[in-house]
Amino acid sequence: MRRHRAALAGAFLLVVLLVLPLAGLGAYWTYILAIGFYYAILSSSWSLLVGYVGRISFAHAAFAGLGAYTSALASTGLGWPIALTIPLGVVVAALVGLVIGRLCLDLHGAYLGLTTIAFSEILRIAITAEYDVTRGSLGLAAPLLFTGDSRLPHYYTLLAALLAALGLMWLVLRSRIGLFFNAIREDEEAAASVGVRVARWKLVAFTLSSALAGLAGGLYAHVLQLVAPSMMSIGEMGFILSMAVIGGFHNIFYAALGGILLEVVLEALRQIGEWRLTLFGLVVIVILRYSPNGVFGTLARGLGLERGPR
Amino acid sequence: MSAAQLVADGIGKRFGGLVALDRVSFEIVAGERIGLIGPNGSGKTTLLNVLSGFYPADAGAASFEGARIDGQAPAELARRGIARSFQVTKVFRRLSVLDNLLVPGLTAWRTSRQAASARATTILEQLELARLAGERAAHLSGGQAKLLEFGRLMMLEPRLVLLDEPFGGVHPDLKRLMYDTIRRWNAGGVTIVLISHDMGAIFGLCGRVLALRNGELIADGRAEAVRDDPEVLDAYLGDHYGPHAGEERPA
Repeated sequence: MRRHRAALAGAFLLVVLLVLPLAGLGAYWTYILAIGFYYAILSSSWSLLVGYVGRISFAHAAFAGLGAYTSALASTGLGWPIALTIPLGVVVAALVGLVIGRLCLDLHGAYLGLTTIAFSEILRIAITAEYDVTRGSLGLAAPLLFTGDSRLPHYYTLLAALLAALGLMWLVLRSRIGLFFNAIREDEEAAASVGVRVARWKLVAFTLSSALAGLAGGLYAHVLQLVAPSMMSIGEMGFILSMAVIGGFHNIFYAALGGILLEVVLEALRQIGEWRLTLFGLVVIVILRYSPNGVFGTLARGLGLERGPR
Repeated sequence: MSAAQLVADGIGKRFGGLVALDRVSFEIVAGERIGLIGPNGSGKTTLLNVLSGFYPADAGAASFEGARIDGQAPAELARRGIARSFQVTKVFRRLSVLDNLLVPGLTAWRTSRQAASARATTILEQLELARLAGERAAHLSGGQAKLLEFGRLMMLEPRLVLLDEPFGGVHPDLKRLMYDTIRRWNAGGVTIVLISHDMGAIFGLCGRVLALRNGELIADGRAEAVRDDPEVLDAYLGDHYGPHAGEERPA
């Protein structure tokens, strides 16, 4: 019953998102929502790692950048079609995720956090410095995903990518692998003692999460037509983190909604400028303290869509 | 290859300058019930950590059913039939009681969720936890959590069970349930290694006792013989019953 109502709420939301651009939303807000889908892929795949496996990473924006630069460079430099370069970005992000994960997933807490920050900054600074290839902080032009006047194909492509990412993560999480993830989050030693191959599953989660960030980044590059090192900054990472926390990072769907919500709020509050980020920071603190299930977790509970308390 | 199920051959383990295990050797035959005793810091838990893959040994070798186990990962040993509990109870707190059992139940890919659930339900009934199946493990009492840990081990269908102080702070009723579980395990051919400071439990459950002091195995034999061994008395019971009982010791 509860599950049916949650599915119904999800279906309703999906229909709204499918119909909105056709129902006079306007080009500007259609574009903003499309960018919101980009962030939703990032915040939900980040929450896969943090909310389910219990491992922090501050390198998620960097993995998005990796996907974006790979795709932009391969399409402009090598002349490959975008249909190939975006998957290439996914593969590169996944492989780098695999290596980084292998290097640092035995680390915990502050050590893991600091290592991922270091990796993220190394990547960002290297890309900024390598001017001849990347044009540094000027950014790199990327061909448009779909040429033509309409923004609609971009909107629907990003929405489809978001649904595919959520679908894939949902399939993994509802399988026994999801249970292993949770067991690792709760107690790594206990999980290992009952036969859970902890290192393998942490690596799977980190690689999957990185690959999805690469996918988001690749699409973003060809929607924005520009990739710049700023998309890999710590500030950008803080933004993704805020989206997941405010949405509710114990659930990939709530984290995704947080991504869409914050992007829309960010645009709606454009006139207050940088204060928006201050505001988000404050909201994150309040939510972590008083409502750790996030806006949508709390809302779902209030509407009786989910069992509480956690 | 020997007929023994578990062989420890000169196991050594150091932590910096501290010798935690010093050339510990013994053999255990399948189906034995072994008590592992010794004062605090004598190396009992360290030995258990080596045998369950949580610590690598610095010296010596250990084998289980003829294959080397030292240096193997804990998860691999769990899959090969060695199950252990922890001195400080480690349940998956935010998972339901049932899910706590499904984690070990599903680590074998050939086991379906349905089969694992059925088995978990039977075990929860045996442990009198069935009515709490949907409850979060964090909500259990200390004793119930210990039982849940037992249940998790049962899901693994182990052939060797290593128990680290399972009775600490457990109500006598639950303790009886745990005794029954251990006896039932053993009746099914499972080898038991029990660490406990509860001498009643050790001598009630175990036919053979190994005693450690400062990382050295100082006694190994029938429970009664070890109990009366003067060296063991001095090392282990000396504080309470030995010639110096009740005396103030310099700090």
